[in-house]
Amino acid sequence: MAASFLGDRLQRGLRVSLLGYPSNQALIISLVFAALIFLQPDMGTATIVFALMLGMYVLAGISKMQIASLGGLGIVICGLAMLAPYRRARIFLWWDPWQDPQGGGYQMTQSLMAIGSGGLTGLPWGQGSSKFFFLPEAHTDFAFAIFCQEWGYIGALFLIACFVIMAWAMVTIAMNAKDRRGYMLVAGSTLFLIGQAAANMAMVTGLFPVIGVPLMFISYGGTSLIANMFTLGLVVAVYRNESARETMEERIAAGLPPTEENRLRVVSSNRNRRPF
Amino acid sequence: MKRIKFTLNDSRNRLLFLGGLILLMFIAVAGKLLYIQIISGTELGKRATIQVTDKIKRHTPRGRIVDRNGEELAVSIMVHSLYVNPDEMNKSAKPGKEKTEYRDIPRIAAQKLAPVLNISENALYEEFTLKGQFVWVKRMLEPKDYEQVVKIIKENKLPGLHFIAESKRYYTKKSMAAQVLGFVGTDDSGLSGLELALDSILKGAEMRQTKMVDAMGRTIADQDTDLEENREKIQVATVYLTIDSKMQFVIEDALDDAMKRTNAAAAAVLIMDPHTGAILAMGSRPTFDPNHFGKYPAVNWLNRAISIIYEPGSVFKPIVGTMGLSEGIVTPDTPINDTGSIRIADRVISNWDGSGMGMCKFEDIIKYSINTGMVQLGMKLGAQREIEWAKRYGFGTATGIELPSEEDGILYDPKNMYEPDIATLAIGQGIAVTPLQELRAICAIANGGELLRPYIIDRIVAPNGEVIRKGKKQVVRNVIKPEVAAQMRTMMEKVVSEGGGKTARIKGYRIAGKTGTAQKIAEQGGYAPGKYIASFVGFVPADKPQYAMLVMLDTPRGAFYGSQVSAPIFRDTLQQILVAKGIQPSNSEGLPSFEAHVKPGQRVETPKSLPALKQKGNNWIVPDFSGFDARAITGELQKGNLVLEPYGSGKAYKQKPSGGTEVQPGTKIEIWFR
Repeated sequence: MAASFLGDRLQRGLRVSLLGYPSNQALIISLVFAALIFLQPDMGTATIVFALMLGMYVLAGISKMQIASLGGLGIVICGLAMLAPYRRARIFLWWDPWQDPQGGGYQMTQSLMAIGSGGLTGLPWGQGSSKFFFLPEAHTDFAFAIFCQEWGYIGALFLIACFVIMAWAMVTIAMNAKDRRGYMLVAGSTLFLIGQAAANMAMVTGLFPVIGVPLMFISYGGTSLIANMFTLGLVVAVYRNESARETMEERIAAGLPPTEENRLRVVSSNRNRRPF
Repeated sequence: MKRIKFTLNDSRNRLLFLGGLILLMFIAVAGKLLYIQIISGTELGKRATIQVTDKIKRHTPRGRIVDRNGEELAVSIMVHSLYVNPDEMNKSAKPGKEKTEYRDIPRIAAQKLAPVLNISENALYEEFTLKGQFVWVKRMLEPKDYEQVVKIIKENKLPGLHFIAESKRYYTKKSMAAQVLGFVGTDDSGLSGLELALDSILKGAEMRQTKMVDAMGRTIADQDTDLEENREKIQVATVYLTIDSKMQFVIEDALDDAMKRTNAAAAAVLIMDPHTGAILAMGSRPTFDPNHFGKYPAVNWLNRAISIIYEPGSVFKPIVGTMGLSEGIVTPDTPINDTGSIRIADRVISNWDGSGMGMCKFEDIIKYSINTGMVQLGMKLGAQREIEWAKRYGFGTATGIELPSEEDGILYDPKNMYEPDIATLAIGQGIAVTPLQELRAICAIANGGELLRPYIIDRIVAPNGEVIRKGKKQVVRNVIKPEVAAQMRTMMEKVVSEGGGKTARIKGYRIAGKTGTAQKIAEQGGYAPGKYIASFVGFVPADKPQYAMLVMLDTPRGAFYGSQVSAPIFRDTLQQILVAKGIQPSNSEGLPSFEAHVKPGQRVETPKSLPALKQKGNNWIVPDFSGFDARAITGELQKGNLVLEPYGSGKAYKQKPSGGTEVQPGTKIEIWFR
């Protein structure tokens, strides 16, 4: 699934910043992918794919108007959702899952109990009781709840900090990337990975309604792990490219040969010289 | 379309913006976590713990009941009870695995287990498809059923079926002393007999266990590990009864025989130690097998030694006799005129055969169970004294034995007694007693005047060996003087040797006793015609009694006199017991002599007496043992702590070391037999 994101992203990256809809091929492809994933069924991942694509578009520069209209569309959809009574009930349930702890609210109440029992420092190792079949998806989407139960608030803050630092690093790489494709790649990766993490945590703690978004590197799932690592790999590749390029530029500015290895070549060629 | 310039920087700005949004989300999460974990942490934690802990009660095996020598009567073993966790059984198909072969597990399980468990397949299927986590399927499986079920579960990979170990009661001697022991219901609670009376001691520890369970109800961890093993070791107290199972066996046998021969409606037999009050045997008919108590009518569970009352009839006469002797109204030689019948107010009371003996001694009155004489005595005693003495003998109050449902008996209020009542009391009608009360009173005569409190629990031993309770002799009061008792004993001995109790005679032993044939009370009042209670009570040896016994038959058909039906039971039973206990006959009268046994022409070898070890300082001198058997030799060798190494069997013919050798204690003596 993640591979499809990457495919999309690559395509996106290939395309240099474009406006809205004439260049919405990527969007359509992603829609197709999203539809396939949705039929799996895996609404969560489908949503991610689609949302990511939208995000990339936003980054790529669709007009503010379009952003606004997208936002408006979202609100309308929410409003429609509220109309149907059972959907409304589910939304209320999201707000206060304790109304129905054995039925619809089970997932959320279990999650809250798991997190809450972690307290400040978490329960003694392995004693986190919720993972014994009480919390559904304890090893996948709700792994964060178990993490909180066993590592406590301090552990949770630590994890959040890790993600924030990772985000900061990736944004920095993106900001410094001169190559637009690389930029899009890293930007998209950041949104994908960190956005997912934030969304998952929000869902687990009850800030978001339950969407099937796993927590990167912590949720179980081999394919997902590989895909995530691949993404990060791409980011690092961009970084290396960019840093290599930066070094080269600095060296040129400083009058040094651009690369260390082939001094000869550099000296002789004029092409890489920047005009003063 | 206008091409709006959108630079990398613009994009970067947007990126920052989006990044900022994400950061905000993280902060929100951190904030919500703060709320959940720190502020509501303990509350939520408690809720999480509650759903994980499960408190269950577990039972340890019920305490044993054994006879005075440790012979097991009622024991418990842990057996397995099967329960199903329907949620677990039905959740076995995981989502995503629907492509694999779907097994209707409840149906398969119901099918395979129905024949083994003896429950219909449909009933099982219903249980398996309930909602819940715990449903009993079948409790207390027999060990081989359990093994079969385990095999079925393994072979068919059936989830959701589990076992709990429970304590099951086995009465090893089946119906022996059934009423005394009682029986136990499914939840290890005594419902009758000693099981009921001592329920709190036998039931012992009920362990409460807290354990963590997962959402399916399966155990994650026990607070105490290896619970199953520990349970076997945790024992409860053992109750030792005063009952001697060998004697009990004899009387149970005798009771069965009697019931068959006489077709009686019911019967009871009691054996008591007249000096201590310990109950050596206690049996009732009809009876039941406590292992399957439910299959018998409740009337079989009745312990007739203590839970029924009857009018004793002539077996009460010795007691009245001692009243007369104690009050000085009569002596054994007092002359009494027996005219065959006597008239009191509007009642005529006759002897059993209607005939009179004319002038006779009081001891004849007892010997031949003459009603008229007793009535005369009774009239002289009067209502007040009769009732007072009866109370002194313990009638009208339960004896206090450690069994439940003991009757008090019924005594007249002397104020309400008319003359006929005074008369009939003297012959043992008009007073209602339990067999135990009657026997206890006779024991007072047997032991020289002490009214004892009967007891059936010899000792209760805790698992660590400590004796929690010990039964002992308790004297309630001194009823009569030893001289009076001795006089009555002599008279009772004559009943058996010369009088109406001849059928109870055992050759070579001095027996004292009294027969009794009492009219049975009809349900609607008055006496039931043709229905009698035939009893015999006695003790042996007459001069120094060791055993006192009462036999009571309710409504025997055909022969109904106590001397005809009850006394023979007394005789046969006691004969076996006396031989088993090795009580030597008082004399060899009537017993076959040695000469009678030896066939003419057989050489009578005077048996050599076994040579003894001679002690020499710390050592022993081994004699020549030739001609003797191993058992005798071992007994002798034990005195010097010497060990016999036998070869072959028969009589000794060779030994090493040879006779006359001095050996140290502990030496092995080799002897060859043939």
